[in-house]
Amino acid sequence: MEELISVRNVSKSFSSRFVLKGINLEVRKGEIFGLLGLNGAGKTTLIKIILKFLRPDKGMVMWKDSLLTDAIIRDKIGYLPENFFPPSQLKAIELLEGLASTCTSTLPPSQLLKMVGLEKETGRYLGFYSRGMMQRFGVALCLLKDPEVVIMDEPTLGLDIRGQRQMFDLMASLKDKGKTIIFSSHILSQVQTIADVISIVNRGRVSFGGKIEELLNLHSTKVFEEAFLKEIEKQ
Amino acid sequence: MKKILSLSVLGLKQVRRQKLFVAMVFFFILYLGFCLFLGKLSVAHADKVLRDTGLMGIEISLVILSIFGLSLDFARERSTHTLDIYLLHLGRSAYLATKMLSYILASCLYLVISGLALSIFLLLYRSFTPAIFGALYSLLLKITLVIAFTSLFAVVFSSPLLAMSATLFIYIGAELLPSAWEIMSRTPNVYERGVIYTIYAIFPNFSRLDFRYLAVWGNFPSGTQIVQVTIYTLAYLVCVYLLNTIVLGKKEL
Repeated sequence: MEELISVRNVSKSFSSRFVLKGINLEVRKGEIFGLLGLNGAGKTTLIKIILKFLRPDKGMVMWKDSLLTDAIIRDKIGYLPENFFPPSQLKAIELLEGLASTCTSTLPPSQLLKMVGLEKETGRYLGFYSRGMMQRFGVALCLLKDPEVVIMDEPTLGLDIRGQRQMFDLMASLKDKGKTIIFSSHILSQVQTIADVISIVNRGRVSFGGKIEELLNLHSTKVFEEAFLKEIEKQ
Repeated sequence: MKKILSLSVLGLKQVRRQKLFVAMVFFFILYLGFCLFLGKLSVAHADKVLRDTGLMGIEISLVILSIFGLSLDFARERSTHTLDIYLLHLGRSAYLATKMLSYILASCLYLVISGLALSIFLLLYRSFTPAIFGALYSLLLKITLVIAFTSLFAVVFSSPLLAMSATLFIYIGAELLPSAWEIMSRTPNVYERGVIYTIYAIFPNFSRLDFRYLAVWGNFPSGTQIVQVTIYTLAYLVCVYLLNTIVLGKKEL
């Protein structure tokens, strides 16, 4: 599979405290890439570096064979931030239509809302949406420009069991449509069912990168949580 | 440009639906009652007092709306990550332009509403003069600069409280500096005079922008005055905007 995004030797520190140290990882086209790690491991920092919200102290992020630029990010990457709360004074359709005017190619907003199961809520103010509805709306925003890559930072954070299931079903359907998905999560059981490849970030380094079966074999166990914990405690 | 305009209209909708906007409209209506009281106190010059205090009320409420609204809006967008979404679609400089234009449009809307209310009020008390429209235009120019500074400080400081304080400092400074310069221009100390003049020249020159005193006496500004203050405001706005794009461009979010 073609390599879409590659992070090469990226390091980042905040006031002389290292958050990321020489991170390397590759995301291939069409795969669901799970970024795992404990709280404060550096997952969100890494995502923000990929999206150029933060500048790395060292290293670079590549798109195929060239440097990842602002224009590529604007055209090819959709993003669902952690703890996303859309502006409460706007209606879903208003925000989607407004942002659609900024994109070169877009999916119709009404079609997007139908895709995420919000077609009956188009006229409602976003402030009245439940947490799950907001996350699904965030996914619709992600897909507005019909991106090649969708990055989701903790997409199931704050969702109940049904909301989590809906979110992972949505991710699976995006994969079927040929999208590449990068997501960070804490819920290992669900990561196991959906991720093709994972990277475990621990204390600012990638301690494991590969398929889940490889991690299980490495630690001679069939339980993902156990393998994950062993990997984390290894360092 | 089309995307900036389209999102600015969306931003205007958002500002219009905020409680602060509605609160300022109600504040102004109540304030007109206070104007009436002051008009009654000043028997001989009631018409001038009504015009002056009415226009002052519009300015105060607009300053509150733009400084508090924009600073809190920017902080809210950061904490809810809506900023990330906007930046990903627009880029940093276009985002800033959108934000500023949204608030300039909201100020226009507020000026129309409050200007109409003031006109009706002045008509009722036989104090109306079309010259107040000149004053409302100059008010829009002043507020445009206040909005530019608010967005600059909202980007510079992470805390909305600091952003509001810094903008209020600029606003009050710009209002008071002409008097300070008037006093200090007579001092024999060249160094002190130079310092005050430099600050006076750097700060926005609100005293020259303001046509309120002309409107109070029922006078219109001349065409040249209008052109000059418009060019001055646009040039100043571009400078602050460029400075702001540099700051936001370097800022890690």
